[in-house]
Amino acid sequence: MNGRLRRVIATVATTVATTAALVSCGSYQYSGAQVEPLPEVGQVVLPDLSHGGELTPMQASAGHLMAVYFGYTSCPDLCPTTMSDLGAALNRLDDPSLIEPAMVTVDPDRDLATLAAYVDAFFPTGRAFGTSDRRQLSDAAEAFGVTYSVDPNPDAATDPSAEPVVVSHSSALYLVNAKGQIVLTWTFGTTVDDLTADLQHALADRSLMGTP
Amino acid sequence: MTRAARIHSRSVLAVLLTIMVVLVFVVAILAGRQLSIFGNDAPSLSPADGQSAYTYDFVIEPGTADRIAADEVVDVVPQNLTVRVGESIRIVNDDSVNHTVGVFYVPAGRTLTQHFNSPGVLEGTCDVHPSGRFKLTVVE
Repeated sequence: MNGRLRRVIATVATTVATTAALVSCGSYQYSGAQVEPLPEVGQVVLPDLSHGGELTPMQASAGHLMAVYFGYTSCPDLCPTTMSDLGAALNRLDDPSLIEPAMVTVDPDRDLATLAAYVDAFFPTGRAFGTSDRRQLSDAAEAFGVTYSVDPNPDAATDPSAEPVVVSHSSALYLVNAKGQIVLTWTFGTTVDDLTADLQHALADRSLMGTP
Repeated sequence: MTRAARIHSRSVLAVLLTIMVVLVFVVAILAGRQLSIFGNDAPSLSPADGQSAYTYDFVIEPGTADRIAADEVVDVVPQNLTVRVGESIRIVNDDSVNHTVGVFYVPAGRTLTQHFNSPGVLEGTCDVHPSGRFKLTVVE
């Protein structure tokens, strides 16, 4: 075999390998919904109850992604399930510290004093966000597309064991990059497997990470 | 090198070059289908040939909120939709108002895409169907 032929074969081998890598990379489909243009939430600033109430923008640290959920600590089902599933997904990642879990309470009257401990029970490095400023909370929710309501519970008057308020809220989990952009939105019920795969791919996806 | 060896070498060269050309075309085709994961300017969201790359494609036209306010019947999506794992949906909101479509929230002027990787039921309120509900069932 002459040298020219060897070079051609080497070139073809490289092309095949590159093609395989491109096809492999390009074929991944996120389970989270993607909205384009990317919604901006970095302008939203809320008190971080895990750090003394310091006003903090809703965006990930450089090189990280923030997983944001709006809920409340007395939630019987959606919130603990989502937190638990996210925790399970993080435990499967090569480097869980690259994901910053965060929860915003939609029930500040009852949660401001307890949310930090609630989040900490799921994620030792998680962040708890809450404000007693109704307008600040509604603006934050609107930026994410979150809907919620907290209304007096009519049953509470006759049933001492009933919750004093009825809370309803949308149940999506949002992935925010360091630019403060929502890059993925997971609906409630997304499996831990899908969540894990999305997070793993997102961390390697420069366009989602917002890195040049 | 003998004449026979030269001919053999050129034949091998031709075959290898053909393989390379085919691979380039394959990558180009696949990239055209998958570029939506690479950034905001995903060509798959605006297919030049007019054909959507998504299994289900819905458009909320401008003025939809006004039509709803005027009590017109608006049914952008069906009340129930069954999709298969591996399929996808795209909802384009060309209206000036944010819309909720089942579990999906689509801000004004934005496009939502969702690929279905696992079976399940996604149900929620919907402001672009007369029933006020949109149920999406994902099956294997």
